[in-house]
Amino acid sequence: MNTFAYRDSINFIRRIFYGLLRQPFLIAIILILNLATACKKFVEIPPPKDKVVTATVFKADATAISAINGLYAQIMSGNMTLLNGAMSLYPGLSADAIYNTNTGSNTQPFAKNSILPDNAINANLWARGYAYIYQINAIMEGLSNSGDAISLATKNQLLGEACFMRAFCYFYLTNLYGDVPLELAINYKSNEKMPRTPQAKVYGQIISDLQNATKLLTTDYVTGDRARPNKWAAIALLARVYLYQQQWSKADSAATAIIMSGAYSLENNPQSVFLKGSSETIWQLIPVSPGFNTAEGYTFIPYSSSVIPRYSLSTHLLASFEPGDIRKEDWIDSSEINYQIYYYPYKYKVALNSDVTECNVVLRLAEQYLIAAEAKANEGDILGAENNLNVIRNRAGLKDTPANDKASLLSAIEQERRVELFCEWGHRWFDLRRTNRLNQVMSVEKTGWNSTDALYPIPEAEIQSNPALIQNAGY
Amino acid sequence: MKSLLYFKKLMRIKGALLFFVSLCIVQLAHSQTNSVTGKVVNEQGTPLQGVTISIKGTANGTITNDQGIFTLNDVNENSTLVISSIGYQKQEISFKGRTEITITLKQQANRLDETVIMAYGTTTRRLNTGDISTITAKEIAQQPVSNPLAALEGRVPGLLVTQSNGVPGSSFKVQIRGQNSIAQGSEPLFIIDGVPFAPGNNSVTQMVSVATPTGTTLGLSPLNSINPSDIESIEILKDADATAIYGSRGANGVILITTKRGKTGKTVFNVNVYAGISKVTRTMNMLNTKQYLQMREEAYYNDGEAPGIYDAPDLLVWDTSRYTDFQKLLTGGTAHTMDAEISMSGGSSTTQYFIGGSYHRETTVFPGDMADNRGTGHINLNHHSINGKFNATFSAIYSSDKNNLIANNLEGDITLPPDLPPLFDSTGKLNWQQGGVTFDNPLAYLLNTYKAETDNLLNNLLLNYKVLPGLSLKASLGYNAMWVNEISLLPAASQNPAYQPQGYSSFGNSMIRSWIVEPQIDYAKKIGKGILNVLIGTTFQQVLNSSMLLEASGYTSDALLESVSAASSIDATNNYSQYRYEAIFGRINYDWNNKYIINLSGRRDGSSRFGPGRQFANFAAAGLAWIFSNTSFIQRKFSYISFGKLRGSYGTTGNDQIGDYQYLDSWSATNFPYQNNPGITPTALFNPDYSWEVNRKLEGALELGFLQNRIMATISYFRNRSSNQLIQYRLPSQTGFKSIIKNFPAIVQNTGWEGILSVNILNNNGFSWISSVNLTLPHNKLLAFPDIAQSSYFYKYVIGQPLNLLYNYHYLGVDPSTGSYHFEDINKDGKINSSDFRVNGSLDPKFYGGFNNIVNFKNLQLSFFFAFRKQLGQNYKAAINMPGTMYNQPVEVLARWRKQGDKTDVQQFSQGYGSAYLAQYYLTASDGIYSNASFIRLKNISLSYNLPGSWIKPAHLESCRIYAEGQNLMTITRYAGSDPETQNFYSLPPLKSLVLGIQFTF
Repeated sequence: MNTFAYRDSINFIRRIFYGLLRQPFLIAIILILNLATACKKFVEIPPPKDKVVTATVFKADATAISAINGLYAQIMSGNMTLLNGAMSLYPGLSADAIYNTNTGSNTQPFAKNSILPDNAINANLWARGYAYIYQINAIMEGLSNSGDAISLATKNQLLGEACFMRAFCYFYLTNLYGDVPLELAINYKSNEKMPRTPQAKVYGQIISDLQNATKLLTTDYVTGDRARPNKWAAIALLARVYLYQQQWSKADSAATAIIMSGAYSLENNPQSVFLKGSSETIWQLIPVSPGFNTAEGYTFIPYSSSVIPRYSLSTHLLASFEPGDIRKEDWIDSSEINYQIYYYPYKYKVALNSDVTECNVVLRLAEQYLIAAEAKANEGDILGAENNLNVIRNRAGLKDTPANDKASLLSAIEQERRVELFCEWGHRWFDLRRTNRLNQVMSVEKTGWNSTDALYPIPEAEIQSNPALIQNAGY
Repeated sequence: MKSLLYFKKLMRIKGALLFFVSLCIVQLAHSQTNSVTGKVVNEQGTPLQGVTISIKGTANGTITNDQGIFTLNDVNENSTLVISSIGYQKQEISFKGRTEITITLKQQANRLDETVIMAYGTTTRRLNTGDISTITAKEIAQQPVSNPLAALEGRVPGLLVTQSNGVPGSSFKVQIRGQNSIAQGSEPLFIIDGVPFAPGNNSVTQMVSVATPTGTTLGLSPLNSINPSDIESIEILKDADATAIYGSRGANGVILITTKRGKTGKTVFNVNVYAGISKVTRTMNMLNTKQYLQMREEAYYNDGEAPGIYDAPDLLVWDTSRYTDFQKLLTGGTAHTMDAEISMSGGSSTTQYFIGGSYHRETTVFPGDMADNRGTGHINLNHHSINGKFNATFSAIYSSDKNNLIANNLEGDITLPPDLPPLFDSTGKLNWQQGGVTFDNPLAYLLNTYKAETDNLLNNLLLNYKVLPGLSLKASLGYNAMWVNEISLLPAASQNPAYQPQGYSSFGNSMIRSWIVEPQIDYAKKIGKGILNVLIGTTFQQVLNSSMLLEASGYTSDALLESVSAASSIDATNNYSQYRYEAIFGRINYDWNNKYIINLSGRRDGSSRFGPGRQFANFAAAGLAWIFSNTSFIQRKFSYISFGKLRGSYGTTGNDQIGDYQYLDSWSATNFPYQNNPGITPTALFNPDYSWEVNRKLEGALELGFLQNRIMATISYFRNRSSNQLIQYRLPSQTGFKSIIKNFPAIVQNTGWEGILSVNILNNNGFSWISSVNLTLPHNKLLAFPDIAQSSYFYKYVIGQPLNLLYNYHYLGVDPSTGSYHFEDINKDGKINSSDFRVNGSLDPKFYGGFNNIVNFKNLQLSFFFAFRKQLGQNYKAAINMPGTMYNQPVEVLARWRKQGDKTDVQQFSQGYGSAYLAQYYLTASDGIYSNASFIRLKNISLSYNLPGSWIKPAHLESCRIYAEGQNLMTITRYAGSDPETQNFYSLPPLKSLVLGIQFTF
């Protein structure tokens, strides 16, 4: 019975099997289905060879360091981008420092304070700023998710640099545009709809990032040439931010700490202030494009003596130099064409050279003396203010300041900042605005000046992509 | 006994009708039955497989095997056999008791039964359930074009082809049935001889050149590598039924290109040579020096400013008596075209071949020595074994193209001041400055050479083995590779010497390699009165993309610019990506007595472009057709209707044109290291969660033929809805990037009516005239977009409106009191900003189509084809600089506002930053820069004459044809701009060409 049933079922299976075999169509289908399922892995491809994924980036010190180097390389790529020259040019045009010799230039709207919301240069400033901030936030998130994969020293250093750089980017964004969206993470879903954050809150974040940076960074430079920010760089930017926020004593103590540290000293000769090895440089960015030195040198220095420089210094600025000021000789040059003399900024003296002798100096000691002077003057420390101011004046071959009270000192400091920091990082434009003097100065300087021209417009494309952004007044 | 068997067999056949059964039984009672064996051959004697043999009035029938042989049992000696096959005339023969017969089928002259290529097979217009349009070799041959896409323009309803500019080798925009996707991959899938053309219609060049239209990054067209005269037919697959079998790649339609094959018979040589000239179609007249200077002076006067030598050298420094017509100088030349090709074809009954080669040369209308040179080769071999069981077809096309152009767009310089100083100085060198004021010398650009060498190889091997009658195993193996080598040089000599220039060069290499393997099973069986066709197959495909770009600078000598090692610094970048795709697909087709046809197709797709767990998706479609002219009711009551078919289809397709690795959170190397340490930067925003988009297509169509099909008409309605679209979703830059690959939450609908009417107006005494017109009425609509008000598309799209929307300021003309453009303040808040946007129309064509005529008189043939389009388009105001600034302008600006009360369309001249400057800005964001851009264009005219046999016989020629062909010869339009097709003031308008040629065969 059992045998019979067994044989029966074997026969049954055999019948089915042979039956199936006689159906080649079916067999072929089965084969093809097999082929398709067996190769499900076929569409699983390895990561691309020319890229690395985030998980890999923050698995080792070397790749994590590449991520921060990538940030500096991005900042220094391109000419006249947000943190590579643009701040020395556009706010200079907008203020009373320089003007376009060619009024047909695409930078002319900046000089005319008539920037349209769709201006491509302005759109690029904004977009670059947030591209850097994204990378910084990605580095911060990558580091905080890295566990033990990265050594503590490297992690602190990189986090410190990231905090510093985020503050640095937001400082320029908020000074150009006022309230700006404060993006602190990389998730686009929350970032894309963020409205503009009140400037006070942005400054709060800048200060907290800088305070973190001062804790995380050491006073050493991790590489040569002061190319990556250290603790003093964080303190120096903090001093400037406190000054802008009118927190005089904090600004004073931060700036004074740097001056007293002994880590930096003013160059005796203004000619060497912007050289690569300058002893007053606190932080500089190293040019990356082959053949180039600084964007300023490339842009301001005319290609030959027979060509009109693209930008020329305003007569007001030239007139504001006191007689005997050696900065006027050392930091300004001129070309004479058709019996007209054009003066142009000559702090950087190399237009193009594959040998890099000048770098993009971001923070230097001279500014810290002026911060200390201004903070002290506001605090009522007249003597301290005079002393700090005189350090800068004396280096420029000028006698001690005659100013001896708060009001005259503040005015002398404004004047000194104008001639010491001209065409450098937007100082003049930002100084006039933070001291509420912009309208007063500009309505004399520029025809058609409007008080709303103090802030650049939010790029039109940004408003169109994020309805939560509200345009600045006047645009 | 036999009748019993017959009865049993009949009972086994599903779908047989009782009526026929009883009829047969009745007949059987009276007559004898026999078995019959026959062979079906074509006119050349080649056996035909798959021919349907049926017995009239019964459900009995069979199909021929690979040797053309069929056997029918139990056939009544009085019955009639009906022999039919796709592409052949149907025959009926009375059987009369014979046991062995040979039947010769004649090729079908009727267009309805011409072969139409479809996905993985062939069909006919008569039996097709989907929407497939065909362009034949004949229509292509009439057009002296180098790019097959150019030959499609206006000829197919639902297909919109737009040329980007008139530079040889430049790109074309191709869109089937409207814009489905907002930002991504609206390109159709291109398949050549069964092999996906790896680059598709996407540019493979890495550098910009004069072929790049201003404001775009488009490079050279990869399809320029395909020689139009190698093409036998181009099929445009539009609806779900035709495209769903391509699954994820079918959403934007499919374009199938089939190359020529050899035919059985004696060896035929074909030689065809043509040459001709071209000029730009349509340009705008620019101001002459007097008008120009007047404009400039008026601008300063209006602004209340005095010109200075640096902002107005044209007024104060330069010789104001000079006049250069830059348009004529830079784009007014004549381009020369030359094309030669030779082919050899023929073959025995088992092996056929086609071997061809061609050379094409096209120069430009620019000054200087520029030309696109292309050589192509084409081989097609077809062999089947003597027993007919095995068949192999091999095809290969190869092309090598060398495009010598320049790196800069010259068209931008037509706006140079007409009194610009002499371009050469007294010593014959390029002049750069006058009176200390430098200027751009457009002729210097001619030294900035750009060379692109494109090689393309595409092979296909199709193997077919018939295991059993009706069952074949097939494999299609394909390989496609395209290599592009680019060199762009910027010598020091082309730059202003005052700037101590150095030479720059760029070297680009890119390579796309793709292979595809598609094993298939094909099964055909006659079931009942119908034929069942089943196809099952799988696809494995890989595409590798790699490219490298070297930018070398610091050359001290222009002579060494092409040497990388002579550069003082080199910046190199490379890219690599891999794409893998696999699928299983199938199709079931049942054709019941050529009356009812059902077609089901489906595909399961896997693509490496999606993250883990999201790689697979399913797509399917159903198509139905009812050939109602085969019903006795129509045949009796409406005998003038010779053909009538109702068809419909519904199904889904998808799209994976999103680029590779987009789901990965990746970092790539920065262009330069920092302090010699490598740097990396995030590549893009990443989104691991995106998934397949779905495109649902619905179509209904009515096809009619009247008076023995002398009048043929097709009208179809389609509705495509795509949802969950995968796009580069726009983002504000505050997210770090400008976009992310994301599923777009909206539903986009494209609907439309398409019609074709073809009338054989005359056909007697050697005189024939065929006229046909096609028309498309498209309509695009954004159906839904959740939370649009909070999204980044709030100022771009409006629900219920087309995607290609003009949503901007409303232009009110020039304010007669102020002389500046003014705009509608919709919310009356006294300010003009984004909240004053309104819907101002759509840029989609209202309708478009073509009108073709072919007239034959004896040996003379004339054909002319008009393409037309009704549309709104960007006019010249979109591109020009503000009238009054140091740029020349079209003469239209002379109608400017001058004094209070002037009513005009051009605002006052101004060169400054006052109210006119602001108004100009608002103008470009308003509907004021759009106007009627409709046109009717004589796209093609061709006149040819076949020399009479008595003339050519002595020369041992089989045929000889001389012809003249013209492309774009005439354009009728009221467009306020240069060319209504390109709509770009700064790109070279398409060319009008006239060629003369001779073709002979022997």
